[in-house]
Amino acid sequence: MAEPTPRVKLPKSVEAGVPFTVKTRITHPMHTGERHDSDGELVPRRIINRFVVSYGGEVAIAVDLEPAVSADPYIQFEMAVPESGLLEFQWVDDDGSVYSLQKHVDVD
Amino acid sequence: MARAAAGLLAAALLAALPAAGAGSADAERGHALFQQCKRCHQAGAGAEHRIGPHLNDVFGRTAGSLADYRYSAAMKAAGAGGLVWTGATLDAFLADPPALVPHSRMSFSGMAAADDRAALLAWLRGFGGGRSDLPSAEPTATPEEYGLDPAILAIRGDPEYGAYLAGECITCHRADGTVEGIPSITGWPPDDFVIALHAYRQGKRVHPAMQLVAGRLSDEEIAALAAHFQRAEDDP
Amino acid sequence: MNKSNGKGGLSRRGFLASAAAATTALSAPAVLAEGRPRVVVVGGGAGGATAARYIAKDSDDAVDVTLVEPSRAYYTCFFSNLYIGGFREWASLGHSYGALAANHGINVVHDWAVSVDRDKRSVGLAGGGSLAYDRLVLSPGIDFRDGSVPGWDLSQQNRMPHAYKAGSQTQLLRAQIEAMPQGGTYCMVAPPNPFRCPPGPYERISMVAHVLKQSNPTAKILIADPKEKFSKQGLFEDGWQRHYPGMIERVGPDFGGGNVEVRPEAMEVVIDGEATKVDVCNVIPAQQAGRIAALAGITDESGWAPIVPHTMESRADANIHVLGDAALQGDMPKSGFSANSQAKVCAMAVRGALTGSTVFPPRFSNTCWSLIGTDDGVKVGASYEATDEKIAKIDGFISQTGESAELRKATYEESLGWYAAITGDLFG
Repeated sequence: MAEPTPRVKLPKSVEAGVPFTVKTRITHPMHTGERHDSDGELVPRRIINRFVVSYGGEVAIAVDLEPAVSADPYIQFEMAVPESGLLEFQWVDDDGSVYSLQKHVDVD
Repeated sequence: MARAAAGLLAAALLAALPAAGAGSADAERGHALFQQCKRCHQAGAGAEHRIGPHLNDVFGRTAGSLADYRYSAAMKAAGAGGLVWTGATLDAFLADPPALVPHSRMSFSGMAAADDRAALLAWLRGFGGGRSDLPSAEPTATPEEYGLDPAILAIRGDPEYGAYLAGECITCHRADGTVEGIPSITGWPPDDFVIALHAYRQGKRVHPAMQLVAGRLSDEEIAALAAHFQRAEDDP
Repeated sequence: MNKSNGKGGLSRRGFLASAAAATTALSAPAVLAEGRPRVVVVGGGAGGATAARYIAKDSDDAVDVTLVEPSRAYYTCFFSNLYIGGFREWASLGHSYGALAANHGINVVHDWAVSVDRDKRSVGLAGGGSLAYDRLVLSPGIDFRDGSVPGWDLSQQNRMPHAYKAGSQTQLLRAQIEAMPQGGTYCMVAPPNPFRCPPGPYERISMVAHVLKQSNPTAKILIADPKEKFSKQGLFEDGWQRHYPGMIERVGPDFGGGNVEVRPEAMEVVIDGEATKVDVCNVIPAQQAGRIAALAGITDESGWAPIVPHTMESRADANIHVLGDAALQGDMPKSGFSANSQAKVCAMAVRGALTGSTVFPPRFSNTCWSLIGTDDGVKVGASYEATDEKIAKIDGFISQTGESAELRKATYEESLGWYAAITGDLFG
């Protein structure tokens, strides 16, 4: 399969301490382990099982995902930061792979 | 009623095919399979040509040879080329009609199972031999099936209007009558045409595009289309 | 029954009288000298070929019909995605104009229409000369809007093909997909509404995925899309997950898909400020009516040509009819099926106006089939009616997710039958 592609959308700029919306998505088939392919073979489970966002090296939000989550998991949340800094996003795959993306958040 | 008819047919089959292992061919099953054919074809006493030709005495008949049925050019050419309906050729035609006779008007995608074809042909053999004691032919479609007022079938359609309305049909149904994924609708008896469109309009025949098209047609418009499409493509 | 529009009931004598009256005011009575009324049709696609054929076929030589089309062989845009997917040979999409000339007496002129003189009622040709008309039918399809995708213009179409007018562009795109490196990226820049063939870009994605799944299974498909939603979205997304899991990423406006720039020299696509290196870039720009409609002065600020639904007459000039993709008509999608349907209404109105033949109430319909994978066809269709304001949708249907494989196969086979029927209806 193609390498999963993570994507993050932040506002162009934010105000210190004011919540803003973060949208994230990664392309991933999220195989539940319970479906069969067109040849009747069981497709083994393979999902993104954990999603973590860190700000300034500290975990800001962490989510455990279950097999019921649909393909290309989309996660949106709100957060606030006191000052400009680096947001790091990580998606953990069942096969141990970790897909990462870093985004700078600019406070006016 | 159906059971009684099937019993008669089984008897006919035994009489016609004393040595052909009639007991192994399930005539009742053949009759059941014929329900796929009966929208277009009749067989039995009083059978007439409808959308397709009647099927009495089809074994041994040269393809495209009945003078009073308007065959496609392709079927006539196949007969002229020597195609005679036998157990083997009918089996091949039923399996994949366009493979044996390309561009005929037979709107049937084929019967995949060889034992189904054998059962159907065994049943059809019972309508051979010019017998006089055949059960009555079943109608292709009746207004009663759909609760149609006979007055609807009596409407005489305007073929000029039908020719205009047909523009919407022949975007999908080929004007030359060829079947390719979409049924042929040329050369139909008007009654069958009217009943079919009313069946779609009532949602009793199911196809989303046809239900949409028929749902917008008035009784007069359906009659106009039937008047137009009773022409076969090569009629003058 | 012939009261469906103001022009329709005009008898031939009535027409000649009004045309003769007009000649006192205008200076181009050329048509009347010839005797038979003249119709010039510009554009030999689904709209134009149908209009030319139906006017000629149904008027029994009472109308002189000229079809102006630069191409000698017409390759249909519909089904060209199936060529990209390997389901269709290129030659099977090509059609000649020979039968229109031979069977229906249509004068087929292979040239470009480059001007319309509405006062003199004549069309100028690139090769010199002009054609006088009583009625002009314009069915010029689409052209691209300059600057709609920053970094792209027509001079870049060999590096970043649009493949949205069937022909060498389609063949080029397929060749580029076949030449992609293993694990490479195909990117489509999808167009904003309105555009030709609403499911077209997404059927193409399906066909590209079908090819790559076999020959290049680690490749990626990226769609940069300015639209929130698209045609048959649920059906396509369901099919993509079933056939091509993990391969296709669509970046909609929520992730910046509407803020796209391309760099053809570097083979980069910049989405919301972030550059991505790609191996194939299929840019389908924003669209407008084919150029001749604007040159005739019958388009509005939208770039499309407004029409009167009952007759497909231009709202700017009652002697000009506009068909298909170029028309601003209301609810019908820009499709070959729609153009064919509109052309039949137009042909009837034109014949009625020029020969006094009966004009029946207009009827419009459309069905668009799309192929998602092998034997996995879906469709959407609707019927339409003419109102004073627009061509308005009455009712419709769409395939459902979870349909049986048999039904999907039958839907695909139905589309093959439709292709054979409609091309016969256009060129037969």
